[in-house]
Amino acid sequence: MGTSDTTSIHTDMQRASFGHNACLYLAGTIRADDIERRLGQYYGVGTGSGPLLLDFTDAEYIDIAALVNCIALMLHRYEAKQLTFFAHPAKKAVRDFLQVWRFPEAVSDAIGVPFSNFLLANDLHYLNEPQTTYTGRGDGIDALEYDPDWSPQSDSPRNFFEFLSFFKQDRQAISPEGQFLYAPRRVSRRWAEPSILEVLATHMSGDSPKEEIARILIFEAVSNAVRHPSARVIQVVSKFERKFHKKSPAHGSDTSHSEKGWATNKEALRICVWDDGESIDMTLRNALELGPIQAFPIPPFLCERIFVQLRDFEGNKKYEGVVDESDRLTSRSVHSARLLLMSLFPGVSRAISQRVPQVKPFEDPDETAPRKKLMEGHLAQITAPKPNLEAEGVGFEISYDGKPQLGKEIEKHSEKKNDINQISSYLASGPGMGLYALRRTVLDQFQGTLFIRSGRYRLIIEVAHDAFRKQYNVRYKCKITEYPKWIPSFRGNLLILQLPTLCARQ
Amino acid sequence: MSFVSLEILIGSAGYRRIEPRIVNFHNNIAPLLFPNLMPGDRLGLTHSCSIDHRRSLYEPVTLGTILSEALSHCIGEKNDIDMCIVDLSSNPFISVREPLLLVLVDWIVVECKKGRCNSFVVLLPGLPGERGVTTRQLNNLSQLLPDSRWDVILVAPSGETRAYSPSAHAVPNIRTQYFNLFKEAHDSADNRIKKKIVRRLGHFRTLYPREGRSKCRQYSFYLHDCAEEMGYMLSKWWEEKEGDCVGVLYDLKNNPSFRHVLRSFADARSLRAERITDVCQDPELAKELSRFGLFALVLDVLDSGTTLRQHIEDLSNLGIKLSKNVLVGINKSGHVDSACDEFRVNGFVSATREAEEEKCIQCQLGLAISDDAEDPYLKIRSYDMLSVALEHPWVSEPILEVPGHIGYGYDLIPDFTSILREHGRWLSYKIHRFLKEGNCPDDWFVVHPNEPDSSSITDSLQEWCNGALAVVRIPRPEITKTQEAGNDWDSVLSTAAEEDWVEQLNSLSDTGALIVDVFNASGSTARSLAALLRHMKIVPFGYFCLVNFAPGRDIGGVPNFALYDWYNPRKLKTKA
Repeated sequence: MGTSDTTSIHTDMQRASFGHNACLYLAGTIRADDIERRLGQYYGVGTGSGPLLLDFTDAEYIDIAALVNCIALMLHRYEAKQLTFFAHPAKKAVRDFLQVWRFPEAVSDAIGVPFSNFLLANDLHYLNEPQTTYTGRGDGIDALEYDPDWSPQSDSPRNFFEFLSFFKQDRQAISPEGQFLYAPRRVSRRWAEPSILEVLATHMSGDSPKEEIARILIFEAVSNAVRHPSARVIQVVSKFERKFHKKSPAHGSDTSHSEKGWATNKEALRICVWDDGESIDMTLRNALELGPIQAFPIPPFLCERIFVQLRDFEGNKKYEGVVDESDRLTSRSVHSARLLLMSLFPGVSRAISQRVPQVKPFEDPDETAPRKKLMEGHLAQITAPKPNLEAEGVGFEISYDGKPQLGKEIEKHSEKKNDINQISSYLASGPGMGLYALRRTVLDQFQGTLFIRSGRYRLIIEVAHDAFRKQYNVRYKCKITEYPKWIPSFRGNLLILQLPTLCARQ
Repeated sequence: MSFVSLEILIGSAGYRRIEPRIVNFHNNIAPLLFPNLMPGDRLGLTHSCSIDHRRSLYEPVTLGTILSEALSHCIGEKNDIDMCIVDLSSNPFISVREPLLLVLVDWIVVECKKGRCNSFVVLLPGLPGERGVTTRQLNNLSQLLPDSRWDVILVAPSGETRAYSPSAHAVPNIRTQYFNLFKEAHDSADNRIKKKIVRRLGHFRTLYPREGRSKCRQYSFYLHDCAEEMGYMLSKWWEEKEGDCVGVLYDLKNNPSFRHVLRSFADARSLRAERITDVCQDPELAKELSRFGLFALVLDVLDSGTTLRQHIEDLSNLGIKLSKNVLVGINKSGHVDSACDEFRVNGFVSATREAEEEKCIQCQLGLAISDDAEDPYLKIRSYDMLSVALEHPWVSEPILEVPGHIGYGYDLIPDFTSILREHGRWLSYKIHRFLKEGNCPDDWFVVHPNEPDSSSITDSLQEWCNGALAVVRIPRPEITKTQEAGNDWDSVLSTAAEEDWVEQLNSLSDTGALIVDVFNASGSTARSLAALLRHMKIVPFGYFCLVNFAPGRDIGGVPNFALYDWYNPRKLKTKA
């Protein structure tokens, strides 16, 4: 034990080989938070360089985000030449869940080595174990989760919600071209199929068009991942989390949910999109070094106020205040948490600094100019008068020493002057609207919750409830957790879109 | 009074002439929403405009420039118009990204400010969410256009409208009329599905387990890429025939899309949906179902009727009550509707029954059995190619297609015209699958010699791509002239600048092109077309042909793929 050979099967490894401090014991219902809490304890007592066992033996239920978290951790440790092992759940239904969601294949796709390399000797036989929990019988969600008539030659997946991976065979960084440029459409097209749309319409709450999940949420989340620098793998996985079966006489009896391990307290559709690229805050910070990351003045009616709370890993409050989306960022020493939050603001994009926009409206073409020239980047910055900027102490600006400061470096548009001519020049097209549209759709259209785990931060944002909204005059509330430096940064970026289902809203 | 209409295709490279059915569609819509307008008030005939996927993803703002350009073309010398129809309804809804819609709204604001137009009708494949970004922008137009008058009406394919106007312009209820016009202008699901049935060649086997025998077939019918059409037709069939049933019992092993569509359809209507296999193998389930009312049977295919009869017998023996109406994906009786004993069978499409082989040569040759449900091969098997070639006459190569200055024509080759007439859809399905599986850049178009056989391939390919594929056809005489000039296109292009194909290529710079031909004999046509594309700053990303008689020969550095490699290169003339 203690060697760093991460490339082969370790036939001598048993559960007993791992002491208390080398084991992440995960029992009962396991969510990403549980893994991170246990990780905090693990890294808190040592360097973490020795072999580590992710012990799911007593797992009753595993959240899909927890699985993504495991993959990110396993990848990080594999590249650091640290051994990691995965102990299968004792409960057959939970093992079947891992198999039906293709977790073993997802690990192999992300890391580039067989899943068996991460298994204990006693667990190797689970790889060939036939699954018996899922039959495809029941309602439309059951049918999507498992297709008993599926054949390996099929174009479509056996389980609609299973892990889907995009990576280059040579494991080089993904660039947004070819099949990867195609990836957002490929995934969103699946979510726009009549069968899934009908199931979404049946099981999702609200009257929002369910096509918006494919058109905005899936498309923008995946296209955002495709564009993350240094990403070598992108994975998409989803699941309808249900507490109990919708019992309709027509649906008959199916394997009970407790048998399937559906012991969850939130009924929702959860969609995870993960890439192993550079963290969002770092990407924006690097872009900020080159120039502005906000493209243009945004119409005030598109900007909202957000109540933000920043906490450390132990839950201690580090900052609390209101951030206005119309604040213009001018400081390069902005706190990373703020940058992560800003990635969801309208018109914020790392792409701004990478090009010099032609400041022209949608002009009539010069008839003599070749079409190609006309097609070159006409950014939608309308010939607007320069916005009247005035410094105001709003938002949170935190210096690197971690002390909150009033945002002297943050400028705010003057809305009070109500200069209608000025406002009329604000238009909303341009780069940086994709994630913003996604956020708005998750929170406002579907009344859902958006989670981002990236680098040293976790962000949760949702619509503020009435009392909160009135008290702070905000539309959203956002909680950001800062992880300590002694826990390895989360590998890549994970977006979790949580949309309530019909049962959850009733 | 005057109006214009602009059709926008997303994800299609280049532009093309707007189709007459779309022009009629627009002409008929204008008076529905603005009664003062008449079809004759339409100004200009524009090309369909397109924004490719790359730009829609990275530079959605390009759409604004494209719209402005198109509008200028349409209105010509006129300073303003009364109404503009922007038609995005031909695109899948997922392609209409929210940032694109924001650009569209901004463009409307700019045009209103310029005073060129104040009334816009936007035809969409779906309405954006009421709490989404675009809707928020539209709801606040009064802040962006404080001093202007404007009307913006969004229309969904169902005819549902959403209007934005400071004058509270009442939009008439156009649901039924619009829905019918839309159906007329866009191919109906019933028609589309008929074009999506593929007769695949292979080594297929029908099992008759009760009789302990099996029979082989050389053909298998397959419904490709038509989940949407099946959903629509299933819904229509259910409303017409099966309103009283409590559920469906299905055997859809060979049609994954159909079973997904059926399961979600049943879920949405709280109908019981069970596989016939499960019912027959699980006595408890059968007992439970026998207590319910009528069940409808749904099968992927009706062949001889043996399987259907077996299912009926088994289920009836279990006490399950069956509806007399049966739905099948493909009805091989030769008719869409037929009867099987006292059961009425309705199909989505009809086909003729494939002959079953008494003595299967493929079995004797030890060829693997093909899967009716899936086609794992991108290429054509030798057995299929040879049997197709032998079924049709052999002819000498058309003299006009022979690059006479380079080599000699073939005395005998398979008659590709008749092969394509019979198998064109299957061959184009193969090409479509190859391209769909990511073997192409994101934005691309097809270029080929303007000859009937290659045109029939690309016409068929267009259908698989739902019309969203730009095709440029290059006249053969121009290719020949250029070949004689050492593939130098300068002189041909200088005299053909006004030709459609040159204009099309001019609009396609920075995209990728796939060269398509029926067969490759020496690579000369492909090299010449590759030279043309490079001359126009277009990347030829691949060369695709049905049969490659010269496999391994360089085609101007362009990666090439053939459905079948058949070594028989053209005899070349030696240079003096």
